[in-house]
Amino acid sequence: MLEINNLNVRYGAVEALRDVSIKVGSGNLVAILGANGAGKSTLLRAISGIVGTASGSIALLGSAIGGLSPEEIVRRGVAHVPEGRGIFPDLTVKENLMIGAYARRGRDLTADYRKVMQMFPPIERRERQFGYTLSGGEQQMLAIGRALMAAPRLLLADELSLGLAPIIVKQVFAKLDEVRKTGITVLVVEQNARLAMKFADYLYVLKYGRVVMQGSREEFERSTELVDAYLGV
Amino acid sequence: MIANLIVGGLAAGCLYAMVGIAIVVVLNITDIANFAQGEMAMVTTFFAYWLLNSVGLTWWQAVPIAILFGLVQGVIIQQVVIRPLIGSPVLSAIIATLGLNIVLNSVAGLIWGHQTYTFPSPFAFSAPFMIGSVPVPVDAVVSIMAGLAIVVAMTWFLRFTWIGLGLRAASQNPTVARMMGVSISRSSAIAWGLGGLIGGIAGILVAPSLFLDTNLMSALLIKAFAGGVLGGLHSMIGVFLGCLALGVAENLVGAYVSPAFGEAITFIIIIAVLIVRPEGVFGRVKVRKV
Repeated sequence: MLEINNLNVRYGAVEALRDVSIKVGSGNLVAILGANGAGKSTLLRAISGIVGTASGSIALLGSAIGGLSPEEIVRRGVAHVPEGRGIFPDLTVKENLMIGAYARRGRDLTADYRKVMQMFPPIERRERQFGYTLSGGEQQMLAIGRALMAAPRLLLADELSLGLAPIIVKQVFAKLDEVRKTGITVLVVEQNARLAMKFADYLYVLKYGRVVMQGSREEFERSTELVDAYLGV
Repeated sequence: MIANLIVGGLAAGCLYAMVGIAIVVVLNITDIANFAQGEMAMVTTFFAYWLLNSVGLTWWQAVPIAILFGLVQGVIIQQVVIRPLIGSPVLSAIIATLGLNIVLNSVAGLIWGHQTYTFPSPFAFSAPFMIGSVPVPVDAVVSIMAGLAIVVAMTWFLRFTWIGLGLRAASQNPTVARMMGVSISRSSAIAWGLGGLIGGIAGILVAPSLFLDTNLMSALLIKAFAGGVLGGLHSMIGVFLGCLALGVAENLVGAYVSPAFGEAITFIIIIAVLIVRPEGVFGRVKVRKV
């Protein structure tokens, strides 16, 4: 589904990502672990076309998407659940969902809208409320629903657990698992390694912008101490 | 007497509101306070004058073309002056609009000189409407109708169209809006186009009573900002009502206190609002949850 080779991203003199190579197979849930500032969000932003890349390649289903506009990348089937949820505070819940389908505007979206609403009963009840009135958990559900409105093949999810109570985090990840079961490939970025290891098929650890460890869930479960050492917990 | 003053104030307020809405649209979508909004409208009005006097079109032909010119002018200015500054501090763009303000004024002076022109209006000599016993001049009715039409049309456009939804998203969180596929530079161009269009309508409607010269819009621009600050610069309806209130207050203070004081009320209102309620009467303090 997604193949990244030797990706480099710089912010001025700072090298945010160095020679990062990652593969995400179709239908998989892949997690990127890393401490704060490891470059996890930058990686997702580079895939979405929000930050420019210095060198390296990003390919979606075999065709290069590096250097395309964010709009074109969404149209090709990559949707992004941003860090901190990024709910539009003064748009209603309905509008927040519809904006997710902005790249598909003009098409009949009623069926998709109903499907997403049914998937998230807590936000269905709040259709006409403004985004800022929602709780953190509801906002996170809305952000996932918004990304699904893009009818993605690949869903990028940035730090879903950030600032949420453990019980809510569990619910959010259960939803993500549901999303994956509908056939959508998922790439998550997470600080919480234990949580990610419960759901992911394959994991990577980023440190100072480099991939320092990778493996299947089973391999990660066998080397939890090493993972903890990399993450500094 | 008081009814006349209020009607006159509302008509003037609607003209301020048009400039105010033009400013607010650009401000909310691009974060740029466009100090050249007035001069852009002045150039549009001169263009309409040129169509009327040199090309020889009728008012009804010239005005739609001039309004379209206002839109195109806004987009061109955004592409040439503002687009290269996307990503740099907002202050750079604001300073650029101050410079643009001077450039447009000078260029208009070079082309049309600094004398005043009489700008025609098809409504100037019509018999006033009678609402009860209050005679309402037709040009006041036209200003009020145009102001209301712009508010309704803009509200509809922003609420019920895809482009409008994209613009609102871009104004609230540009980065996430980009992730959804909204183009920020296109949003900015649309905002500037709309600003140019709405400001142009204000210029054309105000020119018959103020006479047309290169400083046509300078007072209007300040009043639009004052009305905007009063109502809250983040809400279009707030700006509209703030400008109406300012227009009426000016007229009433001018008549009952002192004509000299009518102008000063603008600045007193700006200062008072900034002290007491900086977000404006209809503004709301932004609540941000992490």
